[in-house]
Amino acid sequence: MSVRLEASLIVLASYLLLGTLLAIWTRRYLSPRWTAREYYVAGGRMGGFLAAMTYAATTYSAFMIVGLVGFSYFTGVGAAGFELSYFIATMALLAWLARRVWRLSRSRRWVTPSGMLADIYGSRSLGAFITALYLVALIPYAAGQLKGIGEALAGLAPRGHSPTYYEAGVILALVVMLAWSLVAGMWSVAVTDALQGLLMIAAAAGLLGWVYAKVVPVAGWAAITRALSSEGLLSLEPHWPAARFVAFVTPWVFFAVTNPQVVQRLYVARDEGALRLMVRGFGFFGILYTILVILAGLLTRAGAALGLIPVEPGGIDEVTPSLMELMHPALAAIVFTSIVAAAVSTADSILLTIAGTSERDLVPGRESPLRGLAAAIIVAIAMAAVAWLRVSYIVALAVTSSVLLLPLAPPTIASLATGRRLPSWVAWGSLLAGTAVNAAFIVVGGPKGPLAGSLHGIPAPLIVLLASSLPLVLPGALRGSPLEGGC
Amino acid sequence: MGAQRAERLAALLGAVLVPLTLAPYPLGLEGWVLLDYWLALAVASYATAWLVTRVWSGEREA
Repeated sequence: MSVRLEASLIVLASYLLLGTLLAIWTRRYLSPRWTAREYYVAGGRMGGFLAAMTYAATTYSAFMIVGLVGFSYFTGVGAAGFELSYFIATMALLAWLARRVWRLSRSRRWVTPSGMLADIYGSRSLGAFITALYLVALIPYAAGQLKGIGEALAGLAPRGHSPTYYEAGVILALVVMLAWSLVAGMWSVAVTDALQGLLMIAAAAGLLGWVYAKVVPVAGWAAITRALSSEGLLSLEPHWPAARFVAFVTPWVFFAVTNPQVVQRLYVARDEGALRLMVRGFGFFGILYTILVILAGLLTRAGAALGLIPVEPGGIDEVTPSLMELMHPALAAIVFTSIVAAAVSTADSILLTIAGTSERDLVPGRESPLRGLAAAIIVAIAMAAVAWLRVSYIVALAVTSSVLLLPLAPPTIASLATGRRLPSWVAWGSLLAGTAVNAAFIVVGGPKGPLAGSLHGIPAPLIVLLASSLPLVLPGALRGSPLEGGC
Repeated sequence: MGAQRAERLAALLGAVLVPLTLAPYPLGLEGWVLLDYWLALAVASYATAWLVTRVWSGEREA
């Protein structure tokens, strides 16, 4: 066994052991009487630090430390604009709507985001439809995270053992995801998310520190700037034409109101002080993590161009693994484990959320822990099965997941902003129009169509957003009785 | 300032800041200025959220 593999497995095992002990320890926070609100949203009794860390770790997946480093390496500073646009919009949405959602979640006893919209629009079938949309969009997205863990382990495998390591990685991810979400529901997910979030930040700082030490003191900023400029990486063209930027940014700008795993986290804070800490803490984490990752990608590219870092990655997802091969095995092991942590923290949060929406809003029945358990096992096996297939369109579907959920943005924002129960035809109109446009782009352009397609030069996500906003401008769309609970 | 007014202000600022992320295209920004520009917008949005959450009462709802 190589030193690199040995170090990675030791750090990974330590992380899994610590995470499992923490997950078991959180059972003490569970109320003795099982309720869905207790299990899925911690009974609305969570402190600000935990709420912030689970919001951040759930939001930032393995895409950051693998994908965004690679995006910065290959497409330059435009990748920062894309990621920071998401951040700017999320801060604005949280400052505007988080307190309203939190207050209403307590008075209306919301547990799931699909249940929230079903309640606001007075239509249970709407909740079922939205849950189906979550399953279509988020099972491939979560499977993409499991696939990432499999690929990370396969990258460590001795020659000829790659498929076995990949399969072991997917099975490991399935077991960890199930265990950490089932032990104490939102409590165990949030506490393990806190551990994983800290590991993600530490690994990103270590990665940047290593790249910085290799490049900046040797070359200096003037040479770095020249190297990046000569490759066109400090300008928007040719890598980020405006249409591409808009296509990427549009679905992510609304992530905070369309993705159920983050919307649900707005219900967990124990009071407004905790909610405040959650918003501020997430903001601090988000801006720091984004800067660390973007700079790591840009400096790696400069180092490669100047001959200081001998990497020649073949694709976006190969940049971070190429760097790990050059690092000290201990640092590489920490970065490797942080990739696993980022993937697990996103996947188990999605699992808990869509298991809850499935058992409550898709197949409603009597509240019981067994129903939750069964839903989680079925959803987790579906995620692992999709990852096991290892086919290319899983990744494409995962990338387009936010576009598939984009039709949820207009009806969600409209109802929360007005604080009114709007007519159900508004939500149905938005969802059906947006989903129909998505389906059309999939038929024409394949799984990537909703993100990469366009019509007369207008990016597909913008068309989806416009189509799903149309019902809101129809007469009577914004009239309705006030939602009780106060905004 | 009340919490609701602060939240409306946040919505207004968001409606300005988010489209401003596209301003480098017409302005023709490039170099490190481009990164600094987006970072300045990100810091402005964080500061907005910080100020808005300051007026939240901290009350515990039943």
